[in-house]
Amino acid sequence: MFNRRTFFRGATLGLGGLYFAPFLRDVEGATGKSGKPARVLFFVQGNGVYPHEIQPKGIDLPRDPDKLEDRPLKGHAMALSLEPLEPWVDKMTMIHGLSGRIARGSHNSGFAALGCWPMGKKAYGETVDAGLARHLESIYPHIGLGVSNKALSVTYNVTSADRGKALPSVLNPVLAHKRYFAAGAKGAARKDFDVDTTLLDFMADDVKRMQARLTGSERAKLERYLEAFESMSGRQSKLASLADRIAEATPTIDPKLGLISDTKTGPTGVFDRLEAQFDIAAGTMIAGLTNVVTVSAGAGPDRIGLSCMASEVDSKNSGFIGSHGIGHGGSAAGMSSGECHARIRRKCLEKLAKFIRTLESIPEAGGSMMDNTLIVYMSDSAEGHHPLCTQWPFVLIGDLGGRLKLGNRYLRYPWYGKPGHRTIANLYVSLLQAVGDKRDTFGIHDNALLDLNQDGPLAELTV
Amino acid sequence: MTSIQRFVTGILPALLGMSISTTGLAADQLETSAKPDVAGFKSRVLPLLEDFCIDCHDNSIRKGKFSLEGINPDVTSDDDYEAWRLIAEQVEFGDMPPKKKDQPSAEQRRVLLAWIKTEMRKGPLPGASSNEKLLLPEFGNHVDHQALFSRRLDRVYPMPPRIWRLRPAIYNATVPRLGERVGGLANGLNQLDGSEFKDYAATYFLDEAAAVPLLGNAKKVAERLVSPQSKDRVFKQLVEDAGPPNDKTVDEAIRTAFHKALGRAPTTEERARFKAFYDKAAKVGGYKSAARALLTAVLMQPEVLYRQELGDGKVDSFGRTRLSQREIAYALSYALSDLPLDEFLDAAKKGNLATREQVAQLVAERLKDDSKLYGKNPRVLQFFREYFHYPFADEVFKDEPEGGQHEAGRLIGDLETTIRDVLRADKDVLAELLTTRKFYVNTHYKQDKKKGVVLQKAHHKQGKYHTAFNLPPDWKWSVDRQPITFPQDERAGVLTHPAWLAAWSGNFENHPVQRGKWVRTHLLGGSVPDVPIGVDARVPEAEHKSFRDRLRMATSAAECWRCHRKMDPLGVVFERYDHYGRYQRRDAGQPVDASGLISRTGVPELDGKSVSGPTELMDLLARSPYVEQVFVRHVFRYFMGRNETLGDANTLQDAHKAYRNSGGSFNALVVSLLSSDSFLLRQSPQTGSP
Repeated sequence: MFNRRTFFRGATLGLGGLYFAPFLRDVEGATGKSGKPARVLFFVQGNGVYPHEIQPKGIDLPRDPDKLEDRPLKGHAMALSLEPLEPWVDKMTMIHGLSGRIARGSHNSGFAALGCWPMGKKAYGETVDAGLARHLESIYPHIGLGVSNKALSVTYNVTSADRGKALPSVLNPVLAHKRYFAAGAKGAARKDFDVDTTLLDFMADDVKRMQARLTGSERAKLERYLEAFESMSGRQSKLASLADRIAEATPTIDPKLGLISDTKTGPTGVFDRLEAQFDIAAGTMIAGLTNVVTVSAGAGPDRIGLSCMASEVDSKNSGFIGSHGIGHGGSAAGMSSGECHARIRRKCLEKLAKFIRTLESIPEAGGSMMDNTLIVYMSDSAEGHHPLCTQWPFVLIGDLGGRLKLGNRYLRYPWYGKPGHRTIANLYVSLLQAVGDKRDTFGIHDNALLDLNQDGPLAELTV
Repeated sequence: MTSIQRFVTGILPALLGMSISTTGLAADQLETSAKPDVAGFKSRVLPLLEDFCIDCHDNSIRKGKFSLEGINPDVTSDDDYEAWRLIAEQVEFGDMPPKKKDQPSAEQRRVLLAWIKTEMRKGPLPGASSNEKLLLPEFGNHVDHQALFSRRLDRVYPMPPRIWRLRPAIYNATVPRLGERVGGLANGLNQLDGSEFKDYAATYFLDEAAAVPLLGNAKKVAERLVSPQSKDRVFKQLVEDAGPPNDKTVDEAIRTAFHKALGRAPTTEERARFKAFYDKAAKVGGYKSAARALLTAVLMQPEVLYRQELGDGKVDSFGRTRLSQREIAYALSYALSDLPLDEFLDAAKKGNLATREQVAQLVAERLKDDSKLYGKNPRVLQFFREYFHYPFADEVFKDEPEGGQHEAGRLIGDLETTIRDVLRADKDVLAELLTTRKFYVNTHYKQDKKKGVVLQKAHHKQGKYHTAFNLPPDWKWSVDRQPITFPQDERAGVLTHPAWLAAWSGNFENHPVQRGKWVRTHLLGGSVPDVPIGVDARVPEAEHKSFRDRLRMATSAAECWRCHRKMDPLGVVFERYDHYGRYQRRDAGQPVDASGLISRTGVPELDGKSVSGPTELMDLLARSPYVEQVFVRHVFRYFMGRNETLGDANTLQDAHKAYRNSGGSFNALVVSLLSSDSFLLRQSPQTGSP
C-alpha cells in the first residue's frame, strides 16, 4: 500500500541525504547506537591553526615527508599555544599532513571545512558534526555556539544538516543560556518556556483546523507539519520533566555578556564570551540535552575574522590587533605576528581546558564524562590565513569512549599527493564510522588526487 | 495449472464482480468514472500476452526483471500503471518481442496498443497517476502525447483543490517585509535538487526540521513588530510598560496581524480563538510574552506558509469550482513573481477577476516588459533557467583549460543576455532560443544612473575568457561588436552555448548521455528510465580514441543499448564541442564525428532523420510543431506546478494554438495557460466524479 509519508521521506532522502529532525529519546546518558555514551565537541578556530605553531618540542616537521610517522606525544613539551592542553597529553592526538584542498578558501572555508566541498558552495550538504549528531541522538541533536566580533545573535557559519540547511551558531551567550536552560530556570525565563509550550499546542490545534478543510492528499500534506508541533510540544514536556537536572547543570554566566559591542577597538570581552559558550556547551552535555556541540571562534563565511580575538591579547596596552595584519605577518602591540597568533590560540585553549576539567569532574560509567567525549580542535581556514589546504592540522582530545585508537599519539601523514596521503574527509569517515555511520566516503573528492584512494577511514585510528 | 490461469490468479476474481464497461470511449469525453475493461483484457489482451510475452516474462524467468504474471488489468492502478506504459512503448516501437522470437502482426500490435491507451484514459484523474513518484516533473512525459494533442475533449477536467507550500523565494521575499525587513532569517524550506522544475505543488511539505527554523524566524519577526522601530502602533501598545492592553487593542492587533500576514481579515471564529490563546499565554507568561506569542502564532499558520487553491465553493454542472478571486490573484502573482502583485490583488477586490477574459487581459498587461533587463516578471526568465538548466554550469567543477579560462558565472550571464533579447522580442521564442547564432561575450545589461539600462562589459578583467567561444587570444572587447554572430555551422542556440554545454558535462569530459537525455525529454517528449541500480557505468579510458568511441564501448551491449539508443545518438552531436564548450575539430587526435540520429518519437517528420552535427539538429528541431508541443507541455508544468493530465488536453491545445497564432509569442502562451480552465478551475471533491 502506498504511504505518503514514506514517499515524502524518500523525496528528501534521495536528494541530498537525510537531515535530521530532533529526536526524542530517553536522555539518561548519551548512548549512541552502541549503548555506550559518546559525545563530540568541535572547536573551530578562525584564520588557521599554523602547523609549526602547535608542533611539540623535539619533533621535526619536515616539509614534504613521504612516510607515515606515528609516535607517542608524551615526553615532548607543548608549544606555547597548546600549553593549556598539556595536562591531557595522554588523551591528545595530533594529526599533521591531512589535506582538504577541495574546501580551499581565503581567510575561512566555513561550512566546507567540516563538509569537504568547494568553499563557495556554502551549506552544500551534511557537515561531519551534523552527521555525528544524527547518530548521537538527543533532545537537541546539534548545538552550535560561537563568538564573533559582529553584533549578531545568531550566525550560520560552519555546520549544515543538508543542502541549504545551515544550522545556527548562537553568538549571544545570554540568548543561548536562555534557549537551552529555560526549562530549569526560575522566574521570567521559565515563564517564556511555558508560553512556548502553550504556543506549540495552539499551533498543533490550528493545523488540525486547516486539515479539516482539506481531503485526501492535500490533507496529508499537512500531516508532518502537525507532527512537528506535536513533537516540539513533546520536547517541551520532556525538558520540563528534566527541569531539576537542567537546573543543576545550568552554568552561571555574566548577564552582561549579551550582544558583543560594535566597537572594534578596546576590549570587547570576547574571551569571556568564549568561556561562557564553553560553559554552556558543558552544561548542555551534562544535562543530557545534546551529544554534539560545535563551538566556533571567529570562524565562518561571514568573514568574522580574527580581530575579535586579537584585540584583547595585549591586555596591558589593550591596543587593537588587526587579524588581517597579523595574518599577513605584520607585527602588532609590540609582538611579532607569530606571537600574537600563538597568544590568541593559547587564550582560547585556556577556555577549552576549563571545559575539559568540567567534564572530568562529572562521574559517568565508572569514569568521568570526559572518558566518553572527543574534542576536535581545528581551524576552518586549515593551516593559515590564506591557506593552501594541502595540510590541515588537527588536535584531538579523548577517544570517544574507546571507539577510536586515540591518545598520546603524534601522526603525520605523507605529503599531499604522495602514496599513503590522506585527506580530512578520511578523518571524518573515521569519526562517523565510530558512531555507527556506514558511509565510506565523505564530501567531494579532490580532483587533483584522483590517483589516490580518497575513501575509507584513517586505518591508523580504527580500533 | 496452465499459464493463463496462473497469469490472472488473484486479480480477476476481485474485478469480475464489478460492472464492466465493454464499449470504448466517446471521442470527445473522458470517462472519469469508467471501470477497467476486464472483459476486453481477457478476450483481446491476455491472449496476445500469452502468445508473445509470457514465455520470458513470467515469474520464473522474469527476463529483464519484468514479469507479467498477475499484472493488474486496471491500467490506471498505482501498482501497474508504469508497467503498462512500458508495455505500450515496447509495442509501439516494435522493441518487443525480440527479433528472433515470433512477432505479433501489425493488427495485433494495434489492438494491444489501442486497448492500453483507451484504458489509460479512465479513472477519476485521467492520465494522472496517483502514484506519488509520477507526480514529479521528470515523469510528466508519461502522459501520452498523441492523446493530448490529437483530439478535443468536451471540457477541461481540472485537478482537485490543492494547497501549495511557498517556495523559498516567496518566503524570502515576503516574510522579512512583515517585520520591517528583518534580516538574518534562517532557511527552513527545502527545495528539490536536480535538473527539473523546482516549484511543484505535490513535492513539498513542512516537517519538524523546517518548522524549527521557521518558528525561530517568526519569533524574530514578532519581536520586530513589537519593537520601538515598528510601524504598527497597535503592536507596540501590546507591550507598553504602563500595563496590559485592553481587549479592544488585542482584537485590533489580531486584525492587523492577519492583514499583514494573509492580506485578509480574520473570521469571527479566528478572532475569538486567537484572543483566547493570547489570554492563556498572558496568564502563563505575562502580557508582553503573550504579545510576542500571539504574533508568532499568526505567522506560523499553515495558511501563511501554504498557498491555497481551494475554490470559491460554487460548483458547475460538472462539479467544477472556480478559484476565489483572491486565490486567483495570489496564483497569478506567484506564477509571475515572488511577491503578491498589487494589480491582481486590487482587481480581485474590485471583482475584476471574474471571467477568463478579465484574467487574460490583466496577465497580458502585466507581461508587457520593455525594459532591456526584462526583469519585471522574474518567473519568466526563471522558467528558461529551470528548463534549460544552464545555471548548473556553476556547479560543475572544472580545472582551468590549457591556454584558456573557464568562468562558469560569466558564461551564464552572457547566455542570459541573449535570452533577455529573445524574450523581449517575443517572436518565435523557442525556435530563436534553439537556433540563434548571436551570442554575447562578457556583456550584460546594467542599470546606469544617467543612461538607464545599457549594454556593458560584464567583468572588467577580460583575461582569456573569450576563448570559450573560440575567439582568438588577442581578441579585444568592444560594445559595438556585441552580440557576435557566430558562423552557421559553429553554434546554434542555447544547447550549443558554452554555459549549457558546461552545465551538462562532467568535471573532465563531455556528458553525451545526459545531453541526449535532455533532448529526448525536453524537446522530443520522450522518457528514459533511471539508471538501473547496481550499474556503475563508466566510460573506459583508452588512448587515441575519441570520447564518442569510448562511449560506444561502454553502452553498446544490448542490455545497455535498450535505453542508451534513446540518448546517445542525440547526445553525441555535441561532441562538436569540448567539455568547456569550445568548438573542436579533433578529439584525442581523431577528427570529430558529430553526426546523430533522431528516432523513436513516433513523429514521421522526425523519425529516421540523421544529422551531421549539432547545428543541423537544432535547425531541424526548431522547425517541428511537435517539438513546440513538447515545449508547451513543459511551460504548462512550470506555471501550473504540476504535471499535465489527459484532462488538460484542451488547455494544451489552446496554448499551442495561441503560441502559433501569435508568431511564437511566449507571452501569448503564458496568457493562454494562466487564463485556462486548468489554471482557474478545480474539480470539487464534494460532488464526486461526474
